[in-house]
Amino acid sequence: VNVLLALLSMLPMLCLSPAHADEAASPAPLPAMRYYGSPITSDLYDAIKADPYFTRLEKELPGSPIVLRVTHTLELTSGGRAAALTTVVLAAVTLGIIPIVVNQDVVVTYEVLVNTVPVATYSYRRNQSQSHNVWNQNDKTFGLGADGLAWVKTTVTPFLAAAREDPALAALLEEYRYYFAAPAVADAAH
Amino acid sequence: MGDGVIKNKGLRVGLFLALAVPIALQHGTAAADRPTAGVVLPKDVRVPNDLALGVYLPAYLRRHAAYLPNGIWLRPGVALEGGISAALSGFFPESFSVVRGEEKAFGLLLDIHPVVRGKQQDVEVTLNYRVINASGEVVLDGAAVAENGVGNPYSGSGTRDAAGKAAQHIAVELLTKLKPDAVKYPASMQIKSVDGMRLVDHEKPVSTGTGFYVNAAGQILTAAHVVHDCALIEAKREAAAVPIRLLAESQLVDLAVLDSGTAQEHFLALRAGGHPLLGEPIVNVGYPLQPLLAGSPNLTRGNISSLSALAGALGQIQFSAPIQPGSSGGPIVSDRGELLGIAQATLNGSAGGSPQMVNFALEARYIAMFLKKNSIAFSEIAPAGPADSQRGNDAALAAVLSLACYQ
Repeated sequence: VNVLLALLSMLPMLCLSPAHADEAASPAPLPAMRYYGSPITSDLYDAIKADPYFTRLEKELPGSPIVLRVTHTLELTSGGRAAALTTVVLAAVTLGIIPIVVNQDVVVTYEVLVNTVPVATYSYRRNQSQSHNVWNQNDKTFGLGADGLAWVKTTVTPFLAAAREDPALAALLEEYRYYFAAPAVADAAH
Repeated sequence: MGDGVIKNKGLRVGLFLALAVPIALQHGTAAADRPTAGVVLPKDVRVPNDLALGVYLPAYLRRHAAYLPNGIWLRPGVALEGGISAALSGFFPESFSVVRGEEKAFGLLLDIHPVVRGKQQDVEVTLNYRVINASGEVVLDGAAVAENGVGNPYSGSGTRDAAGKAAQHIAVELLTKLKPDAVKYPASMQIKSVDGMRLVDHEKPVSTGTGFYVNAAGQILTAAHVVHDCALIEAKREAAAVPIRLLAESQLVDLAVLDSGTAQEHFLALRAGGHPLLGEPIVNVGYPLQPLLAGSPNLTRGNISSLSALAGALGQIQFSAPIQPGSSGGPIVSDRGELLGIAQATLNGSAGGSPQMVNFALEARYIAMFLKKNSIAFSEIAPAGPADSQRGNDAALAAVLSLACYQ
């Protein structure tokens, strides 16, 4: 009977423990912030917003002083410059039969800005070679290719992990709570 | 041509040749870290040199940027800084960019103020420079000028390469005239010990704004964006401009508090526990459009037009008294002389239409929280006595001063 009672007494704890574990793993969400993405990175919005830390991310929030800006850049490598020069000449001579080959770094950068001042920046880089045919005007991958676009989407996971561990974002959340989380309480204290 | 696609193949080939080849050639421009013709070191000077050289460049260079959605950042200032950094590192591997607020030590400080000019097909970069030692003395100064083809306008390669060439000339001057090394100039200086007046280009401020006294100790409140990244802040009222010190700032509520170090009889007190009333008359005083307008304060009147602002704004209210660039940081004062808010922003035409007098101020209760958080004294007064526009005007005018930011 004692064993049975002991097990029964532990039941509420057992029932509560999974929820408690989830709570510990999910920090309080960051303040509402506006999302800005380039044509390539705009698809990342849903994946970022699905994370509890960024659940208050919005595309239409014009007055927000906090902005998550996700941009991509294409940086030619030194080898890529030489290859581009050579293949552009060959493409020109063959009237576009031979494609232009470009070797470049694709860089995806996530920035959290507060009133335009960056408080946290995370960059992810991948080197890739792409061939561009001058007659193909319908490239919907913005020159990245299907592989490149798929890689851009994979940067969300390391970004979310880094953001959760970033003391700069934790400090931003703390400051936001001081001013805006409970204005009535702040008024009363004052 | 209906859908914007060029159907004529001959025309497409012509366009391709005209565009692609020059672009490819531009990618092949010389890098800034390679020695430039005309840069010759005396035989007794050895490189690389082990001097820890701090390099100061105005912070606004890093802030001027525009992003094109096809994946290109236009950052002319960053390109210029990159050219200087690459060139100097070839001579001084221990050189690094000095940023205010950081504590990394250096042996000499190279203070550079660049000027970039377009000259038909070329870009000309002038690097005005001073070398400052640990005693704060300027031990070398001058100007180095270099030109380069425009190059790739997206990457700023022309600016980068011209800046690199000019920086190489500075490095040669420094090595030849000062013969520095890590023993002669040990890394003992920090940026915080360098007099801001020596560091900045004092001929023209990077930005100007407005501030006002919040207590009898002479502490000044303004908007953080007025004084962010300044190497020197000066306040001016009627007498000559005097340097003042940044005590605290918050980007989130866009507030900063400064210390004049001089006691003040007139300062603004916050409305006690009260919120602004929708429609109540207000006065704003500021120093907009400096130095275009004369240095006397501008007073505008209006009313509290909304108790909220744009969607997503934090702590802001809307007012109708006209403001201009430079009005930021000015007080919003009631007709009984209480501080109701601080001017921070205006709605521009990018929102569509022609917005008129849609201006935003941070509400006074957040000012109080900011001051309390940073242990800055302030007063509160309950609304009392008759509301009178002259009373509000006098209170605001007595407390405001103009601010100038130098880098």
